[in-house]
Amino acid sequence: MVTEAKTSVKRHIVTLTVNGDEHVALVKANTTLLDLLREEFDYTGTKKGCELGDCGACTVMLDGEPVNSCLILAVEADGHSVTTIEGLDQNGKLDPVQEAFVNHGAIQCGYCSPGMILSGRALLNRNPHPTEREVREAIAGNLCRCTGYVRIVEAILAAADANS
Amino acid sequence: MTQHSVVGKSIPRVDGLDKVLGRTKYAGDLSMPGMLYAKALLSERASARIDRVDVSRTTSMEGVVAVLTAKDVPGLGRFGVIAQDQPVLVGEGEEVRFTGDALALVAAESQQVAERAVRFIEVEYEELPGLYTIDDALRDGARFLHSDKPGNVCLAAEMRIGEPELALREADVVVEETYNTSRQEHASIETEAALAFVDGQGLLNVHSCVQDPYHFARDISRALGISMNRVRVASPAVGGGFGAKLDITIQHWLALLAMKTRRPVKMMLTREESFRLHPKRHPMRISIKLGASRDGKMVALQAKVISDGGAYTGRSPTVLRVNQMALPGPYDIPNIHVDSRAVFTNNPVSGAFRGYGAPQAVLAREAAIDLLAREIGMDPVQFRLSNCVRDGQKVANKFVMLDSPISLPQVANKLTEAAGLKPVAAGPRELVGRGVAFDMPTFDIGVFPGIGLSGAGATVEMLQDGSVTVYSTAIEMGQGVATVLTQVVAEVLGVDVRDVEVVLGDTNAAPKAGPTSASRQTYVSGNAVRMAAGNLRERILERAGKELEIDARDLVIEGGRIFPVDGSKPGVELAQVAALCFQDGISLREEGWFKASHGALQGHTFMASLADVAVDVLTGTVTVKKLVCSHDTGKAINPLGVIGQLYGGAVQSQGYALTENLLCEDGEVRTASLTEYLVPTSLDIPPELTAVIVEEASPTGPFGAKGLGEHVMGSVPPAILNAVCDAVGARLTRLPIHPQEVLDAIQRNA
Repeated sequence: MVTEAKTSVKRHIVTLTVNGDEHVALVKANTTLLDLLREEFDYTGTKKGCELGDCGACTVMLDGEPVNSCLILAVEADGHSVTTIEGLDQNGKLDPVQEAFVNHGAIQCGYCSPGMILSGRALLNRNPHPTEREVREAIAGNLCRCTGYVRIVEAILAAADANS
Repeated sequence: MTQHSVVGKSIPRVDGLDKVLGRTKYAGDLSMPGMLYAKALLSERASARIDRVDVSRTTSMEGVVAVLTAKDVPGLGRFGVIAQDQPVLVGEGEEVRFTGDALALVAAESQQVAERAVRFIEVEYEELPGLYTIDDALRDGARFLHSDKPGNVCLAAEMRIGEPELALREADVVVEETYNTSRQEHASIETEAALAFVDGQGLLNVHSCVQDPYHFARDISRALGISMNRVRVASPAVGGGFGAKLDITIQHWLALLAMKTRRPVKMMLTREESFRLHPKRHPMRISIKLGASRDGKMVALQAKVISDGGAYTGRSPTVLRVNQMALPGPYDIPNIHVDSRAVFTNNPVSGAFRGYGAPQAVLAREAAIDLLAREIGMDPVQFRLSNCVRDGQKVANKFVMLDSPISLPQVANKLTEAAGLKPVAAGPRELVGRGVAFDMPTFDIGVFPGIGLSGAGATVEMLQDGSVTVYSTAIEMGQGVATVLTQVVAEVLGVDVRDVEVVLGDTNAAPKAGPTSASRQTYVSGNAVRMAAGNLRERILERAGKELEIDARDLVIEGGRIFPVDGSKPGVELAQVAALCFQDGISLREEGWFKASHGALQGHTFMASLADVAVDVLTGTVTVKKLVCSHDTGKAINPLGVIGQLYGGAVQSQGYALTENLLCEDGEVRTASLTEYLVPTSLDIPPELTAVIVEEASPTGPFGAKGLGEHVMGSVPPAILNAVCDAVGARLTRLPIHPQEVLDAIQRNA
């Protein structure tokens, strides 16, 4: 559905599922999924780092696939299902990737962690037993400036082991 | 040896759970009802006089609430930690000196309106000759960027020990080289963000990701003409700092907008703005000369250091001093002369970045030492060890306290053990090489005067239920200080780490801890909370002793219980004693204030790194195959965190050595995105990255801990450079190591 707003940018009503809950919002045609999640729905666990798709801090799962939410328009997410970091634990029980990040020292400042964890989770969903190389490739679009990646890779591999 | 129950254990970080659940709030995640969105108009020129700033088309725009220019700035109108020479806003008739200078601020009802509004501000610039290189700045007849700084010299400082000229003339072997380092960008994944508002008591609140809340409060109060007790600065979690968040970037603007609009105002920088605004690592040109006797004893070091300090003073004077003091490193060199200068240019301001001037010094020294060792025909490790300072000797850095043993031999041993064999080339297209570098990194011990480093306080309070809160203005920016302080307090008070809550970063809640920089917080704030918790413990034991009718000195606290050492009585719950203290009006709140008592300013430690590299002879590409870091960290309060610092720093160092270079052309940042400015990704890290530690206790650190956060930035880049030189058999002298220069070096050698 399209409505005319005062500005020249068209507005659209979008309906999407975020972490299992249905959300409806009136968004501008140029609103990104990232801004919709953060500014409208207050899912601030999804981080803003560059808004250019370079850093991966805004990674969410769109129908299970990891995407940079800064490169997806809110209207493109209409009718789809989004998982953010706030939706990964099951009733307070951490996802194995989250748990491994805590226990393996894979977190420092934590700003890249939500995106990293979701990239890791998406990898394990499509490939439950990845090699170290596959893990490194899966998170190559997620920049971390603190950890040197070593423990992040270890944590995702450990979560894969915990799966089996 | 004393057994500790919490200190020395690799417990998971105390902020880990909230971080993996996405609950942690960073400055950009904060919001308030009625909040405005702010945008700054940054200068389009690096060097110009501002003839006109016309905001008339903006003020009437729908949704625009405030448009401020230099005329609206009260107080001094300038800021800076050492010299207050950076304008809050540049006004008509004044000069812009770099593209991070701002001309106007807009606050609007939405982000989109604010962004649109700044584009309607009209500015007339009158171009001024730009100074874009060190040579531009020093050229005869060059205009002065700051009228009170003739010759564009920001700092000129010398260090002289012995008779270096004579020693070099008499030395058997002399090597000489000039090294150039790049302008490194911190590239924290979180860009600068702030939310400011004036509260119901008229207090100006600034919530922002900062590394030194008290310094920000001081700088904002001075710049805007309000007393310091009317400014509260509070830092939520910081998404990476590395020095970039030590100084004001946007916080003064938000403070000003909040004062003028009386509404909450928020700003979060785009990546491009962040690249433009915050200070960078000083690019340096270091000409170094080393002399030694034929049998391998270093006799003299002479260096000329010149650095592009950028548009304003920033931290150049202290960064250059640290660089100077770091140059001689762990070696016994009797004759030294260092001549250091920082100059003003129209480039981004140079400031603090992990290592604070030391990494550039270590690079030049350790690269030149390799040349010297080769010239003499000695093994580079043996050469270094034989020149290392010995217990009881003094080092050239007179500010170092040298109160813990010279552990470099152990550090070097561990390095060699972990290194294994030098790699072999995979084929004719590959050259392989190995490089090492040694260092004596330092850390602030809480007495450095002038820039707020002197002394650190913290408060520890036990509540009546026995739970504990720690208040400190140390900053958690990923390095793990919240966990370290928790472990120290839990250890002293005999409580579980889960019973300790750490509240950080708020000037209205905690005493000054000084900057979270200079690898200092574990040492200084660790000592402060240890003192506070120690006093608290005594008071609790005294009250418990009264209750149990036992001398307090015969009691211990363990696992949340107080009982006699000899087990003669069953003891009492800590929470019960806390409640008794509450009833009796006994204060269970203690402030610890730590200031090292000795004349020295810095603690020291030792580190050594090794790199194995492969060089592609067709492309000149360098691949790091193995990195080993060996570090004397003192007592590791949390080994998991310690190793994490080493890993992260090693990879940041690899970026510095191989890919990171913030290019500026005519003062404009040309690599203002993360696709153009290349920080290492998960695919770039070495297949083998090893960190090993030696724990030679510091006699004055909390439980023997030393500072460590920055240290790895010193020896890793020269280890990589030396490895590439080893592989190609020729000198390389510039960071980052460019593939074309590697190819040229291979050609020269062929």
